[in-house]
Amino acid sequence: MKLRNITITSLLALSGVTLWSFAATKLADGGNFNYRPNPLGLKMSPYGQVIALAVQGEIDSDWHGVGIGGADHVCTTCGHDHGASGSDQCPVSAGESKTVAEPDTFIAKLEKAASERTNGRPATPGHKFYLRRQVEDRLRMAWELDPSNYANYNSYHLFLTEPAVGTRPVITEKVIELAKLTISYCFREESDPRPALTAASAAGNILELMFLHQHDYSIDQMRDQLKVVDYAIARHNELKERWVASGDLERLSAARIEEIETRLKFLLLVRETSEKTIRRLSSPEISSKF
Amino acid sequence: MRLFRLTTATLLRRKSWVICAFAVAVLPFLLQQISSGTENPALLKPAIAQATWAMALLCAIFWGFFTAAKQGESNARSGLGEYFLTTGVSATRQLFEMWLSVFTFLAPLPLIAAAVCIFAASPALPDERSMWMATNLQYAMLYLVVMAPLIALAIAVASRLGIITGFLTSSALAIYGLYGVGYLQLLGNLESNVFLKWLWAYSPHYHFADPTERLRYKLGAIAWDKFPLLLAYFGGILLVYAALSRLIFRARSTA
Repeated sequence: MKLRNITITSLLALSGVTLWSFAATKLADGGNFNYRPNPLGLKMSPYGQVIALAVQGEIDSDWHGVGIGGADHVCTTCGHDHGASGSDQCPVSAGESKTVAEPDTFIAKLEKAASERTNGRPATPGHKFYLRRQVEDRLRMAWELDPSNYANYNSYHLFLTEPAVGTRPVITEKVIELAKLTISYCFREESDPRPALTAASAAGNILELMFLHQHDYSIDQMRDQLKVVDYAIARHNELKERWVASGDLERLSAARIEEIETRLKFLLLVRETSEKTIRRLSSPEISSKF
Repeated sequence: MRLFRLTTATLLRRKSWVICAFAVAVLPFLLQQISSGTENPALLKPAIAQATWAMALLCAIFWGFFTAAKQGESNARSGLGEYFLTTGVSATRQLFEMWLSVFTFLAPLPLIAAAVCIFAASPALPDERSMWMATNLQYAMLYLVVMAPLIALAIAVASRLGIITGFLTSSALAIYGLYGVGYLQLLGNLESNVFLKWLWAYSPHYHFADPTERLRYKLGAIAWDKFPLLLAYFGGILLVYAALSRLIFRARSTA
């Protein structure tokens, strides 16, 4: 009886191991073992997009912590801290200040009590660095969750390119790769007009980097990049028209629609200046000067 | 099959399976309301498909393995296993009957998930729709092959080491195979460590059975000539776990 048991178990184990390793070798040869982990498929999903938006709140509060000048510098109008020098202008006019200045719900009061900084001295450089790194990591996560989110992509791009805010120095190729990934992801969207704006902005960012390192790129490369910006803007307009026609645009809140308009206006300006820069760089007088 | 009937009746009376049925069949329709599908209607169907499969996976990992572990432990500790031994039901037979009972409750989940995907989230184009059906059925099959041996393992480990160990063994293995393996690979890419590479290659790659991304991007069904290879891969793991479970399981506690 005992022998029979052992035989069955060994047979099961042996055939299992054989089958497992045979199939594993076959699958590994086909390159199927390589994948990027995506828990519950959240990244780049309809739920990921919402989480990516929600993360912005946390990023905001951390970023706020970076600029804190100490308890003495808290603005009396809005309750925020405008830095040690007080150089930031308070965006809230005196009339509308009430809701921001004093939290009126019980939970909001508790939150203020638990999180406000009472130390009169400004945050230490080490703490500020930690907060900046925290923001950078969150931005990376937000970008992974939804690469087509305009604010998240651009903030992450800023962190990667601007040494004053970023915590990890990154070479230009990495930033361009990020922009290219963003563009190709955004162009996959066939219904929502907003990702096309992110693509236009990413293409504009690449163009800007090309201007910065103009010796490494030809004028033709810059012109091609400008065409990507044009294509993205055209795609945005086309998709938006389709949404207007189907009435889907009304699903968005007024604030979101206004946001789209401002971003488009800004991108058109960027596009115009980029075109001028290319024209200037390609004109013979200037080239002969350098 | 008295132990099977007893376990099934117990699980039915405990009624916690209702939560799983609700999570897989109803929750996706509520969850889509907090997805970005509310702004972009093209995303409503992918949101349903993603949520229902994610729920099916979560239900197996948290409810299925916990229930299995609970049955495994109580069978050994309460003296029930010993009683069945005296009536001539061998330990392996007991393991099989309890496994079959838990499996009966878990098996409908991927089928419900596939049905939700097919009836509520099918693509509009006819050729994509037939592909969609095939994809869902393939993943229902893979889900069953992946989860079945883990249930047996949870029962067996719990019968020897208690409910918490049994539950954690199976769910940790499942989570590791679904997601952890990928992070291990990223780590292996950074450091060329032979041990890491070896561990990665011999890990159970359960992510092959995770349909969420494939459905989200409508990548189509797995090629039918490659599908048996996947079945063989998970079949191999199934046999190894079956052998392990047989070894580990005991019908009575020695104390």
